Amino acid sequence: MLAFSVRKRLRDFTLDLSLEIGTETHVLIGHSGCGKSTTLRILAGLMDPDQGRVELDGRVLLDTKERGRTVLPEDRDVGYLVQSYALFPHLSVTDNIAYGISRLDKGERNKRVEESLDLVGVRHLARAMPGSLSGGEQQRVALARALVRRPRFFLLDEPLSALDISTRVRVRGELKTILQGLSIPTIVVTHDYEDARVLGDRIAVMDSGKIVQTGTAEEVALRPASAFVAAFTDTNLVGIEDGRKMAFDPWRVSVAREPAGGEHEWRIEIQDMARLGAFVRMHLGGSEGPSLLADVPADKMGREAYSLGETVYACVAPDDVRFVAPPGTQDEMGPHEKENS
Amino acid sequence: MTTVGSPLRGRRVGVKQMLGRLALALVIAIILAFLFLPLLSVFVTMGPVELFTNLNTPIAYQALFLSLKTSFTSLFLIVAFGTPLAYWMSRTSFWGKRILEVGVQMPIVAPPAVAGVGLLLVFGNLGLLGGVFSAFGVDVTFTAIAVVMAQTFISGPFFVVTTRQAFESVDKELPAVSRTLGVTPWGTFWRIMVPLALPGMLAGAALSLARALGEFGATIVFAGNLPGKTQTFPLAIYTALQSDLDVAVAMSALLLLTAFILLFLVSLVNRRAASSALDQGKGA
Repeated sequence: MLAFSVRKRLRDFTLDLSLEIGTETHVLIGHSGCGKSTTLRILAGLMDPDQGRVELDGRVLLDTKERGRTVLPEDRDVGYLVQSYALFPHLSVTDNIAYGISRLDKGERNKRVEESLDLVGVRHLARAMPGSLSGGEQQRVALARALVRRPRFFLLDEPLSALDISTRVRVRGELKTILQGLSIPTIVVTHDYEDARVLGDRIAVMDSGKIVQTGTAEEVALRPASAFVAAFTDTNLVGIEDGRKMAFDPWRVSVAREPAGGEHEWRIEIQDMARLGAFVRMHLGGSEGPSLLADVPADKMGREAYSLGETVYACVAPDDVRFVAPPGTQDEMGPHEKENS
Repeated sequence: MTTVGSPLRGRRVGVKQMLGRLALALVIAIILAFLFLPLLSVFVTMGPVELFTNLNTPIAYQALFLSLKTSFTSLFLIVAFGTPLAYWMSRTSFWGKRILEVGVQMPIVAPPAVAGVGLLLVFGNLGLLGGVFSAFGVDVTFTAIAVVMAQTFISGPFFVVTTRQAFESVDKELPAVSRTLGVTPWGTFWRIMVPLALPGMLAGAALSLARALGEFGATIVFAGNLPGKTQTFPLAIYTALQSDLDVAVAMSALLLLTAFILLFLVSLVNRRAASSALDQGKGA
């Protein structure tokens, strides 16, 4: 169990968060500069918070209230993977992996290096130098280098964002398998909801140094607590009269040139369109009223030939709407939500 | 159809271009001749055998030995004291750091004779710290110690500046990750920072050594020109010039050759560092 509570004044806001993480993967998601990476640096011991306490399995790693109660990074048993992977350019893949276990005797060291090479599937690269590796290979070597020390908690800072899209999906799957096999408290920092959804047992959405919502990927997508969270999960979130909000998915929105007369209907302008497989994703909005996403099937799109700037009617069926109570009150389920979730 | 390549127009531009190129070539030739002729003349005035005969004198040997001894001692001191300074300057930022950086580089641009005067004012018999030294029975002026001090003062900044830049160019994530892999700051320094900064450190060391071997102004002011005691190779050249031009020329040739070899090594190291940096960049 990793439990921490930290506070640190940054340039534009104050980082202030508390979390308890069991043997699971917890994803911190937020825009760049929201304090995610700073949080990891504090947990790794590379930066001090203004106030805070970090505890791992009952061992205090940091407590600003007790003077001198700071465990140095080298004594924290932490695995720390950075976005650039930071492989040591003058050392071969094997030497990079063995770097952190040089105190072990030779036999044990070799055995562990071999295990790690196999774990991430880079045995054939054992003698290669980092400069000759692809991004995906570098990521795996960095992962092996962190895990060969058998850390007691694992911090991954944007582990996938240095990869191009084609390798990203594959490496994400491999990373998920490896993380699931670890069973230590793990924090992954990302700005990508897909990464969060695939990797995270739980997700915490961060904005300006604070956690605005926690839950499983599904919970967060079903009932985003704020427009900020909704934007991350590509969920529509619209306020209604009584202070409540309703959430619904883009693929539940139907678009037509004539009003259908439904309960939830908006006259709205097409601001952008992007092809996503069998759908066209419309970005709908106007000077007033909500901004919505709508996924229109490609064949319908072909028949109707909507154009940018056109005003249309977007509606969603009452059954597809989930009501979200304002923070601090009891969540209320949408009419058909109970059997769905 | 009119095109840029029409013959008439092409020729006019051609003549103009030709004149421009000629003028540029002339300017370059003049400056290269000015820079190289004095250096090359040292070699062309006498053959290798003659050079060697002229070098084969007790004064020359003495001076050569003293120069090597003091220059390598200076280099050792520069590396021992300059490396921590360079590392510290690469890692910290504070108000007034710029001023410190400029101050550290001052000996590069300050006239060596002025440096000699400064050293006298501090370490001379009547200087600020001269009393402290003489209380321990140490008199540094007009000794080999003074030669080392002059050389260290003048040539140290070359090493410190290059080494600081070499440390700064190491990716900041590398030492951070090293710490999380269980390695102390001291271990990280030796296993990450030094290997990665080594090309820069070697280049800086070679520059400092070359500068120390050639040091003249500060040495003659602070240490004097006593044969066998403080007369280094450049000072011996100066002395020989007044009695035997051939010996001076031969000694100059040797000093030049050494400097050239050192500078050439620096450029080799830089080339290798540049190409390995390229390799690093490719993978990312």
